[in-house]
Amino acid sequence: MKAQTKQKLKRNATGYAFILPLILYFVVFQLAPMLIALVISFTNYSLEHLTDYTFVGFENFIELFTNSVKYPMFWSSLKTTFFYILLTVPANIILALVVSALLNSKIKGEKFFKTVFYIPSVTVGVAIMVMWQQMLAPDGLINQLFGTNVDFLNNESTALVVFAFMSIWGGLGYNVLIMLSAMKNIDPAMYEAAEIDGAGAVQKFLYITVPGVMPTVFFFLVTGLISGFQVGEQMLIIYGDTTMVQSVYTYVYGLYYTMRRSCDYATASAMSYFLFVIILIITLIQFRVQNGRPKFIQKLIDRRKKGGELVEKV
Amino acid sequence: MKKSEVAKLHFPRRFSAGTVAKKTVVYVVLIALCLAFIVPYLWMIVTSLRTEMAYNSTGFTLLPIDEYGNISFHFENYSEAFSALDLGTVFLNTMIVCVVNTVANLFLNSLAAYAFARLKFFGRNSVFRVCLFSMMVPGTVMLVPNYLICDFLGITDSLTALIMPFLMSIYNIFLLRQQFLGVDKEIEEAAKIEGAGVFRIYFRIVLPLVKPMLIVLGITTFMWNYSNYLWPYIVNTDPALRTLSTSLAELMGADYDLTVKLAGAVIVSAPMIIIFFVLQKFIIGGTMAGAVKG
Amino acid sequence: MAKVSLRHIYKVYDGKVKAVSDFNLEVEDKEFIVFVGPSGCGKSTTLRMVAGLEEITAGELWIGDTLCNHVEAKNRNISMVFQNYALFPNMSVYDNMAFGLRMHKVPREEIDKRVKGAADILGITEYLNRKPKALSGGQRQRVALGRAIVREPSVFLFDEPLSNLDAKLRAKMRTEITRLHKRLQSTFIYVTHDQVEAMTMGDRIVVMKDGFIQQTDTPQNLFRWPANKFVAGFIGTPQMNFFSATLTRRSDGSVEARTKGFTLVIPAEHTYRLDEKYLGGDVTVTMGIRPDDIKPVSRAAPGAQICASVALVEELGTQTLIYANTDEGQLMNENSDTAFCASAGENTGITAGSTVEFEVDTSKLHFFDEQTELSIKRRIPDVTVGAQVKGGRVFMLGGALALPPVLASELGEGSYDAEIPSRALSFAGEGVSGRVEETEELGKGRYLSRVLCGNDRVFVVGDSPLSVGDKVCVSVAFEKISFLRGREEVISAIPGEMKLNGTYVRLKEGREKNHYIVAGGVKIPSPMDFNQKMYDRGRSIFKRKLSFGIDPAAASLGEEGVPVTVDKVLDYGSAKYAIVSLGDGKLCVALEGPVPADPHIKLNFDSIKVYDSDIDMRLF
Repeated sequence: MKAQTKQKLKRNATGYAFILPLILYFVVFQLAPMLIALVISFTNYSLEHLTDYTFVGFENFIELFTNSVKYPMFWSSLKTTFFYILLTVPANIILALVVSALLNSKIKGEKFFKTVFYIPSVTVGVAIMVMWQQMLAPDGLINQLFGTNVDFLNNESTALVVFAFMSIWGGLGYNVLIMLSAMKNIDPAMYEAAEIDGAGAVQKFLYITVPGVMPTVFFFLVTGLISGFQVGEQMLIIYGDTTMVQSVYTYVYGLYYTMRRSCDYATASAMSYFLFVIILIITLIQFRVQNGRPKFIQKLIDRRKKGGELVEKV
Repeated sequence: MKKSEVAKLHFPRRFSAGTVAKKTVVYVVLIALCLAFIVPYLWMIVTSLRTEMAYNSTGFTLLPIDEYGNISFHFENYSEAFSALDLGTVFLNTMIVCVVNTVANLFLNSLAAYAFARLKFFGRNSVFRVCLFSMMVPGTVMLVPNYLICDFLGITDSLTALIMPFLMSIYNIFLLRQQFLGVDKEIEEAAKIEGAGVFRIYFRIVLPLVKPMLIVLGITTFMWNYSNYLWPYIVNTDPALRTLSTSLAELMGADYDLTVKLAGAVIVSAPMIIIFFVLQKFIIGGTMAGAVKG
Repeated sequence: MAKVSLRHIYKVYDGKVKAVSDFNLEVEDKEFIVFVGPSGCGKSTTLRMVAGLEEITAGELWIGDTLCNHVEAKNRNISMVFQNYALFPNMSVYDNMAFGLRMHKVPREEIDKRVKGAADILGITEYLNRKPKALSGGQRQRVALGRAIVREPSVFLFDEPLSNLDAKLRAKMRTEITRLHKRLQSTFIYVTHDQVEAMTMGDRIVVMKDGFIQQTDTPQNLFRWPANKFVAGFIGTPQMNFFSATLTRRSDGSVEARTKGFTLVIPAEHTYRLDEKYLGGDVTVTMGIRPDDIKPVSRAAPGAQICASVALVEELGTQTLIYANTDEGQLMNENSDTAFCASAGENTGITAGSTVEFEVDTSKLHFFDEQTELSIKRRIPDVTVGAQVKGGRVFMLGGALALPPVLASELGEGSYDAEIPSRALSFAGEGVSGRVEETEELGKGRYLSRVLCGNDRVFVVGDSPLSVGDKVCVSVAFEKISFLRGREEVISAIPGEMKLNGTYVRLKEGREKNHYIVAGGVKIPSPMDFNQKMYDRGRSIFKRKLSFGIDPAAASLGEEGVPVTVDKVLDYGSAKYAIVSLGDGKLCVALEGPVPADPHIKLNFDSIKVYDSDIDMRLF
């Protein structure tokens, strides 16, 4: 008996010894920060109250949501972030689908194209920003090419679009890699069956390719949403802490402002947690969609199916 | 043979007219897209070799010409960028952070991954799941909390702050665990019978077997550290502790010729791009292997 | 509903690897044809070429009356059922089946009618709304069948459709597909690696190996008359037993077959089809005996007896398999060359370790040449008989025949062995007399008769049925016969085709471009339609090494054409041939009239066969 428990003890000890760094890291750099931030978001810990901070309850959150004098950009920053997601996520998916489909047709040079598209992914982010900043300047490459004179980055109506474009440009390589390998997993016999049935290239794409990579599309949707909500670093690099351009003021950009400029750590913590909640909700929705719908939605769908005749899809 | 008859002889077309047209369109589109990726880089390199005056006086060009139309290379942009970036110190800082973090990261993550894959201990699966879920918190959310803890620990404004918060990565642990699970158990059992201890089995026998994944993860971790801007910007304010990214961002906002700024961008990004071309196979293969789960 | 015709079909990859070689098959309308063979034999590749999913390297594919080599798959009016069903997972069963019809813009009511009709036949009407992932393997396979049926194609193609199903389901689906074939009255081409499937389902079976057709025939014929060792071993379960044997013709007409472990005596009446060359007792052949033809008995007839020890007994219900070995010491060695398998009924009472006597059905033995593995006991065999030449006549087959002029001059008096292929014999014309001993119907209006002429037995194919005992006249076409002395050939038969190596060139002469084939080193101008056929092979045709197959009727001797020298004139009386030298090559030409003084040869380019000699592929 004793020897058995001794062995068991030794096994457990060894196991934990191996994951000790992980546990330590987890406690110090995951758990503790989250707890501290949580607590602080209920205080008024900021530059003015570094030592004499007090517990203020939900005041920080309420101020964020309601006080449009103190936080004029709060809701508009959420709208901007939302708008950015609308610009990037569908475009990313469609572009990845189309480019991957083109690369998947029997052409030479697939490896070459994949490499070229992937170059931005291995270019230092700041360097890419420097490059684009100069390209988008009034006398930069883009304007030279089109003979126009638009200051893209400082123009309210173009700025956000341009950031979306940069993000799509930079992400294409990675997206294509993922999408292409998903496409290659589709059983070629299905294309052959469709070929014999008389399907043309477009039809094969719509009826076989797209449905076949649906899981990947879903993956892009979810990751696109999650990283879309966190957009802000690009703006930070280009404009610094503050910007005159209102249309690029995203939620996270506001977070940076609050952190660096006003040093209002309490509010920043509150904003961080709010972001956390949003992302958590998205993740939960994703989980649900992948693993089954809640019962009441399923009943609605069944009722509709039984009522109708065979629905034809052309 | 009549000439008119000979003229009628023709070789078969390999593809029907429709196919040729389709293929041409595909190639045209792809090449156009390629240009969208190559031209900016080309432009950046070329412009960094010109003077600002030359740049302002000419229109669109991909050649390093000066204001009179002659090709000239102005490497002084690069020396200016070199000092503007304080490249010596900054490069050293970045290298220290990258190398230390990557090595520590690989070692510690593989330890944990091996434990989750092969060692049996109380609560193994629950600990794994808890870590899995909690460490999926996105980076931006962790930004403020991590800053606060570093402040609390007093390590702000140090290179340690750039290394420590990224020592463990659940993504790496997950992938390494996958690899470890795929190792033939019998090898480990044979070693056990021979009397090797757990650590020895892990370090000397199993770890070398997952070398490909280690290389891929090593490369990606190194590159991530190299490019990291946000965190060094937030946590370190001491100019002596700048990394390549933060230094370049400063250069970006300072009053220098655009040619110097672009030269700076080239200096900073060139090493990674060169490594990419050399290790292409690993990088692209690793990305695809890790993320296909979708 | 249509015929499918594959003529000299080749599939070559990278100009080197031949996946399919010289595939020839005429599929009748409504026929159920099965391609069978081991993995990699080229059966799926051939099917895919018929479907249009693979490009045909050389040869012609006709579906109905249309040459389909370059017709796209969707326009060939075919349907295909795949091994993994290839159903579209995001569409319902109805939509899966309707897909092809929608692509062809068939009106909605028609689609509905056809889909529901097919679903009814296959019994899947209740699944029409479901998605494939909600169906079992067998149901999915039926949907795949349904998708094929609704298109109402001329030909149905099946690529190992039952390989993914479990044994029981497979057996059930087999009968369903066979029934479907009878019901639809369409042409079915079916690929499988399972010979049981092939034998039970096919009207005719094409056995393939390494890209070549080994034999095409009905299941019964494949079983009884395998053309080579491979077919013999492939068809039939359990597999045929093979032994190394020497055959000796005895004085009473019987043949003794001696193997390492036993000796059999084959009564004379079962030896007539054996190629005499192998009966001298000095050549080893491979003897094949099916397990069903070896039975354990208490007392075996003399000459049909094998005495062996039993290594293993497998009870299968109504059948028992007995694994035995004539050499007791080798019992445990299953690779021993004295081991064999015998099949018996139930309740044999035989146990492992006992010694048992077996009786062999000596009428059902198979023999194959040890090197070529070809059968030496063919259904329509070639025979070798003794012949005596004397005084301008040859005495053989119990009669005297006038020697044609060429043989009269070439063959000196004496005795020879005459090798007579069956195609050299017919019932038309003058010849020797004989009596019909046995008749067999070959199908398609052809009848095989075994005729006793003198002391020799020959096999003649005719187009009217004869009866045993009939007196007939067998005529001999001497140009198809070879005469040998000892083992050496003194006079050989007229070759069906002679090959000349050469190339195809295009030369600029003056202001014109002229095309020639260079055969035997000699330039021969080629006509326009021939040129177009060469051009159809692509630019590379000028660089390939070619060989030209010219049969005697494809060339004519006259005053015009390419100069040649006549080496020899072969006068067979009714037909005359000349052997000519064309450059450094030789040709056999049929002569119409007298030999011209200044002989030239004109080639009939329509009948020339062109081969790519590097990869041995017939181009056309």
